Amino acid sequence: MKSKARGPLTEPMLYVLMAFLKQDMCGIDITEYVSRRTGGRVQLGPGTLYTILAKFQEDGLIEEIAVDGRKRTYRLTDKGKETYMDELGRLQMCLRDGEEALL
Amino acid sequence: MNKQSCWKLMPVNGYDIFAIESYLERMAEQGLLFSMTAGPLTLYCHDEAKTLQFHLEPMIDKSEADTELNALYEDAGWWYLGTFRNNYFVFATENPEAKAYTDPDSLDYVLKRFSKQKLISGLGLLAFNFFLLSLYHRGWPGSWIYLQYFTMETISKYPVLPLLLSILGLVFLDLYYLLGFLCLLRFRAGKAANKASRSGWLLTVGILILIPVVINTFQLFSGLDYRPIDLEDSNFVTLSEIEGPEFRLTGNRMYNMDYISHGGTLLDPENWYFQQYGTFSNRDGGSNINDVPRLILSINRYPMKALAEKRAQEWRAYRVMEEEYQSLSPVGGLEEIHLLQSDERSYLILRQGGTVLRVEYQGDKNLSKFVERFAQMLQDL
Repeated sequence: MKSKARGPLTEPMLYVLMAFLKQDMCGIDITEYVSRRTGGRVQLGPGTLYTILAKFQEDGLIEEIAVDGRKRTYRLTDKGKETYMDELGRLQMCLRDGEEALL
Repeated sequence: MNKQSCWKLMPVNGYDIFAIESYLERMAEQGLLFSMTAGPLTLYCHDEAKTLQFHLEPMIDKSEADTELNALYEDAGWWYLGTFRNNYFVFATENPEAKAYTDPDSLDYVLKRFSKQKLISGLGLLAFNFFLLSLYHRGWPGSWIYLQYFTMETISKYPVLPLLLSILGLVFLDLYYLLGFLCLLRFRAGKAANKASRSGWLLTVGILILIPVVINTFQLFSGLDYRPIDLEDSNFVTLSEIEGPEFRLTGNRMYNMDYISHGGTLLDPENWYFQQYGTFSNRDGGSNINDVPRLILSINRYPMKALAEKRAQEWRAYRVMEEEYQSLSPVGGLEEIHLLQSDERSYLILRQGGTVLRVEYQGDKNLSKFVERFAQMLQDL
């Protein structure tokens, strides 16, 4: 997973980064966002989400901006946005290659 | 602890996540809900018997439950029960379909870090092995024969017991750790528990064996192992008392002790030692340590009478002269009195319960006249 922070991201990791694009979020909001966004196809278990948040924070992709009781709110950093865009570009190329292969 | 709780030994290895989760689930089915751990023991609260799913979240770089972690789990239908040996946060849910990890990569990442953490714990265990064995390595007397024939002597002189208990206890702990680490690697590889899972008892036995060693080590390092007594405050028989008030003791403090050497720990029998020598100078101006009057007292106190009897027997087995010890009728509360007396040198062995005294005397006085005085001395210890 460590190498994937700068390379290919797993699906849950990509959606967690995606969740921060429009607004700052806390963990519980992210679970709801991902479930809603994917129509329930991608589910984030609490262990998975907690680990991804901790890892992203460690890698500087997100940063904690507020603590309200048991809630911690994070926001995307420039590095996080850059990583998201890189991953999106990679996936677009994959998709294009896949579609071309069908022709 | 309230009446509705109970402590039980954890039979499975503490590093085998799958086995612990399964075991806690079986306990819940019997109405025992996990609460906390203390060493090899686990505390359960009596609850209604129910089917629960348990999840052990490895504690990485944390000693207390993270509020955010709890919030995430609670939001997903889990509830936090407590910590398991500072290794895991324990969560449970009634939903059999609930999954704590929905991404194998994140689980692998956590387990990888947890394994590294436990590998460092293994290095700590290795250091603990090295510490105990280097501390007590001089407990090996060098020969089994010596240990066989002079068992109590050897135990009294060398830290034999701490060494043997350390080796035994560490074998159990090391084995527990190694099997546990194998279980952890199997879990990471997605393999189910095997026989190694049922090695929880190794930890219990290892800890029980090492508890006295740890207490003994604490006594050594805190200085509780040596507690000298002022001669004036003791009721010890002195050379002057035997030889008479005019007798001159040597001025050399190395030979003429003005204190009683006294010590002992949990695994080292309590002991006293005292010696006095007469002045080394004679009329010709020469001096010889072997010629001057001397008194050497060695006392050991054992927790069992049989051990003191064995010690007295071993002392009698020393052949310092060609003659045999003579057993005298017990007086003054003594249970054994053995005397070996010649013109110049005498040996007296007295036993009272678990306490045994050996007197080595060089001089021309008759030691048998002081038996009751020595008995009084033993009583006052």
